[in-house]
Amino acid sequence: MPPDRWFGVGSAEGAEESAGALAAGEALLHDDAKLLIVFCSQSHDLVALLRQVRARAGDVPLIGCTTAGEIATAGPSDASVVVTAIGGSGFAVQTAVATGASRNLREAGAQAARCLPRRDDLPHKVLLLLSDGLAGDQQEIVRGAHGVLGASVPLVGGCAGDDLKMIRTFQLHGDRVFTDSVVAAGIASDAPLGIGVRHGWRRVGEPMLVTGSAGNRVYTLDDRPALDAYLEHLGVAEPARPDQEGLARLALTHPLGLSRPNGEDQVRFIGGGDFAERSLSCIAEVPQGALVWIMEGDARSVLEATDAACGDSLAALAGRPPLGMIAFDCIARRGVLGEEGIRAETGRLAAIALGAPVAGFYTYGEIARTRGVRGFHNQTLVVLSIG
Amino acid sequence: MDSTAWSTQQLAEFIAGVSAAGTEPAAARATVERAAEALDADVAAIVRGGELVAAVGYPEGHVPVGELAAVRAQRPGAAGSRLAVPGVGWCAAAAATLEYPPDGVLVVARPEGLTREETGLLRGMARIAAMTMRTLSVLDHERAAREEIERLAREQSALRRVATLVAKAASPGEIFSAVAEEVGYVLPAADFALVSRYDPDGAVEVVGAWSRAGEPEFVGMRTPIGGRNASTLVFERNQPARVDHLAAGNGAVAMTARDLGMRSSVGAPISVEGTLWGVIVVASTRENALPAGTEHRLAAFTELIATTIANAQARQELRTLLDQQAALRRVATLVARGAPPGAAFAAVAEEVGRLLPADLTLIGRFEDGMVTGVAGWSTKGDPVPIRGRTSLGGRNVTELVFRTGRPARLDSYGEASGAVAADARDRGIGSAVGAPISVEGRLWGVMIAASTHGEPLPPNTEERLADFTELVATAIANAEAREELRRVADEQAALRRVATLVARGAPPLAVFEAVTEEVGRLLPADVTALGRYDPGGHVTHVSAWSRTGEALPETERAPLGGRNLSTLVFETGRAARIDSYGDDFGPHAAEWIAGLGIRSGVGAPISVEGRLWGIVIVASTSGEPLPGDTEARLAGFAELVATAIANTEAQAELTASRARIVATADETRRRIERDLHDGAQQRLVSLALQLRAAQAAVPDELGQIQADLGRVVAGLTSTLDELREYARGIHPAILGEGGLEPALRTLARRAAVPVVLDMRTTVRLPERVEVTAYYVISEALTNAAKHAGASCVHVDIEVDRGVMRLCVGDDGVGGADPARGSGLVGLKDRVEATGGTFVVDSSPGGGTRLVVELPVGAGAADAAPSS
Repeated sequence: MPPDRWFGVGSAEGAEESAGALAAGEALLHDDAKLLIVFCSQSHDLVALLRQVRARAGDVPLIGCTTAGEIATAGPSDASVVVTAIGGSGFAVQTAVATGASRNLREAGAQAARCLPRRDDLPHKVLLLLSDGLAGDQQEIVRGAHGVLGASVPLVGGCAGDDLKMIRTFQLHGDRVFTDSVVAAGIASDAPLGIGVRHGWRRVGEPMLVTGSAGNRVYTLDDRPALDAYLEHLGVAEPARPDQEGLARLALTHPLGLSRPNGEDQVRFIGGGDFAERSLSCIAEVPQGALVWIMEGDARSVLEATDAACGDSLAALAGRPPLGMIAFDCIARRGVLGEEGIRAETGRLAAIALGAPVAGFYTYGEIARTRGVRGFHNQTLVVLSIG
Repeated sequence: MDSTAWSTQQLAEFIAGVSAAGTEPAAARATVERAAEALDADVAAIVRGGELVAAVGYPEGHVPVGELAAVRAQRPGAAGSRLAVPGVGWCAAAAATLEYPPDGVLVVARPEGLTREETGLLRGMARIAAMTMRTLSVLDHERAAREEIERLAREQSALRRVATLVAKAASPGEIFSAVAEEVGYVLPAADFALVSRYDPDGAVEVVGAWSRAGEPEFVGMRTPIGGRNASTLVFERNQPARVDHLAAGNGAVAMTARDLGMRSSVGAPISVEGTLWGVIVVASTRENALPAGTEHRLAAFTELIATTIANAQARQELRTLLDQQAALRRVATLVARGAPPGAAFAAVAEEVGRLLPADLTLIGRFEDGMVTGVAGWSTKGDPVPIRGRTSLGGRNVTELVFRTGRPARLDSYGEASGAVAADARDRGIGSAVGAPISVEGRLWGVMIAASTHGEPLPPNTEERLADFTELVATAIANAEAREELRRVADEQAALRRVATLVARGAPPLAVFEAVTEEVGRLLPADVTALGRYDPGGHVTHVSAWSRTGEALPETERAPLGGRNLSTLVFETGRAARIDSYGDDFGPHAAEWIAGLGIRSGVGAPISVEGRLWGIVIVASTSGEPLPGDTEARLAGFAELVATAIANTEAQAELTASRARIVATADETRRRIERDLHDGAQQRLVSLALQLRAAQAAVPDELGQIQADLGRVVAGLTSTLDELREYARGIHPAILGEGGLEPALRTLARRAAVPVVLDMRTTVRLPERVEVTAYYVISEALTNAAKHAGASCVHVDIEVDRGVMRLCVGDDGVGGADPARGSGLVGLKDRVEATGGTFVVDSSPGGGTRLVVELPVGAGAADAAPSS
């Protein structure tokens, strides 16, 4: 007789025909799966990959997305496929997809959120969201989902990646492949689910006042063109010609930090700049009137955040060992840690998980709302522990 | 960041977030979301009476509106209500009243209650939100008014074109087709417009037609009456009729209509001199049925058609209609262009006079039981004298309209009475008709048409006046909406400018000056002042502004007393107003009230963290009292001033506490140094001497022991040297004994890099200055040797006008950055703790230059402004 609740992770390297089938086969520990979650590189033939997975799993609800690197128990990798399966009578799951998200991000979030199963007998709930971080202000998606579910249901998830090409990301739902979409799984369980959120960045230098901004775009800081003020604060000379890639590299390890009432700084990833307009473009809103700091981190602080996030997520399980963990880890942290560092990080995840399987991916933005109304993060690690 | 600076910060973010909303509902939603974000609340909502306006944090469709409405605005510190929030548990709830929407309340809840600052922040956010929502509602209103006027103007011009054809006695066929075309132009939802005649043989025949597509030709088409369709329903009932779903209609007419793709239709009867003659039908091919009101708008055209048909005897009547439409249209165009009300009034007075015809027209405004003339016109062509305020009362048309709110007439002014009638007789008025001008439901004024040649005005004058009074009302409503919008936007901008200043931590004086000027410019004040209450019942004016820019009297520590705003606010702790000063305004206010000719004023308290700090006053030299909302508008500025003051005080306290920490640390170092000097060092010296003596006493043949003792003594001496060196690092004793100069000379001598010391002061300075300077130079010299690889260091010190200026420059590699975490950070903290400034200039390759300024006068903690 299969257990009440189980959690399996399978991974397979490379883009060969059988990778999807191999990973799915490894993840499906029993035959009563309730949900499959697929993380993979955009370099795969996604339609074919889904066909392989479903050939193994049948029509079990499935969500997933492309990444900027995958995480599995064995370690991080690129161009691999990681399949997570959860199952057993202790879980109930429903999934949803909202397409054309950039037309109305809030409505897309709301639409995705309506899939939460109504099961009073399974008191622990979470909504897992995978979205397209290139589609606009992601906080709007969180606001839309929060507007439907209210404070009672935590939100968790991340923005899909495209191996840092920053062109197009894909979301997976059932046997279909979408872009500019939000896919969601509403999970109800008879055991606790824990969420941890930490970033490990700290402020450097003096704060700047956001004197001009609209949505994700920052026009002026301290009444000066934002790009100039940013480069100057970092002590970086203006490049001879517009250099988006140089800016992206710099910004990856020097995000902006907004101070927040709960004392924890909220980090904003700078996705690019407009060299003619001298503005900066972020992945989520930077409100006008806010104080921002330039943030920095190092391998130590980032790894400490890993331990803390895992610890926080396990604390909610009230002493029970986890069945498994899902990590949504910002690509920028990968930039700080380097290839060796991310191995060490995955090692720590696996160690803290006490031998339970670990899955996850490198994201373009992370979602975690457990208290208050904010729930979109940048350059952060979000961990979901399944009890 | 301290909590008050936090509040300002959050308010600034909140303003930015909420003011980006484009509609009133979006602003309400942004308000609850941003308020929850700013206060880290789990739920936030706006409720109005028992209705929900917006909420965040509750599951969709499960907002407990009644419970939220029961949370009333509380005074800070009062026990708040409790709310059960799904997923969070019991929460402390707080509410702030909204000035808009009426009866609105902004409620937030979270597990722990709000602090005093957060309650203040919530109130500030409520105020901004209300202003924004009101602004947006005014904007929506203005947009709707403009659209209505444009529609009216379009309809009038369509009617006029048809009326022109009618007046030119064009052929009926031509006129019928023109009517159909104009109907299509006026009703954007219509795809077909047909003018048809009911034939005696039970058929309906199209006599004029228009279709949006231009085809096909309908004129001459005959269809039998019968079934369920607009033409038949109008025929049977002799009143307008509509068929919203032609698919469900029947009869020949409906079949033809369906063949043409029509999906809904509306018809209106054309009656000629009481007899049903025909029908005008519009139809739409769209999914949505034709809008409500289509029947009503068709009626204007059916009248024209009826007129066409009864052409011969109606020619004169048509001319009048044409004139009226043209006059209406000229005025409507003026109003639609947003002309100032004065121009619209003058145009209306003239158009009405020419059209009626009347000898004299007047437009007056009702205010406080008086009527004030605003425009007039007369056949004589001379400008009509406009009387100022005239008392109402007596028997005359103006009084009748004022009392009844309805049109009134007086055919003989012989029996009239009252001040208005006296004025009318002066103007030679024999008979008059008046119509009320109502703006948004309230009686605004009156429009009068008068005759001076004895004949009473025609019986339909009342109705014809009414057409124009509506246009006048629209012009007024438009202008008022614009004025309100401008006022609210100005206030928001002024608050925002001051809030930005506060958020940047500008010095209080700059904030005070900005506030007095912004308040003065915003409110209809001649003078504004900001006063601080000093101990012992005194007030000091810290900033003032006057509209004329004239110099204002200075008031410093003047005793309170007498009937004036400073005293009233001081005594009550609440906002106060004086609409008319007496003679007993007290000594401190004399120079202001009597000297500047102030006649009325309003004052609002500035409370900093619960205590009354001061007052902000606006005053006027005109006889009119200041508007009723002045207190509320001042309050927003008073809160910003309070935040600025609280910020500064918090900063000053921080500096003082840092200075105390440094002083304590210095004292501890000095004690350790003294203990070492008096204790361990002394004992080591005496031990060394004893050993020397012992060594000398050892016989020469015990050479080995002698040598051992010698080594012990040498070790002891070297330990003693190390201990001395260590003690010097903890606290240089020479500094206390000989002062800075000998201490620095010793330091320079012992430095690993050559030092050029230029010290242009010999006086002893306060200990904290000397110690700080010593540590700065000591650390700089260590850095120059250890990190910068310098070959020479220059140290310059001078004292000028109570400030010690200290400069240490080296020729090393440069590139030092205090932000990167080095000894420089500790130095910077220490210098700032003593009230000084610390600047590092260290470009790569350009050496490092440290410039430090230290106040020599009173201690940093003492230099902070007293509260």
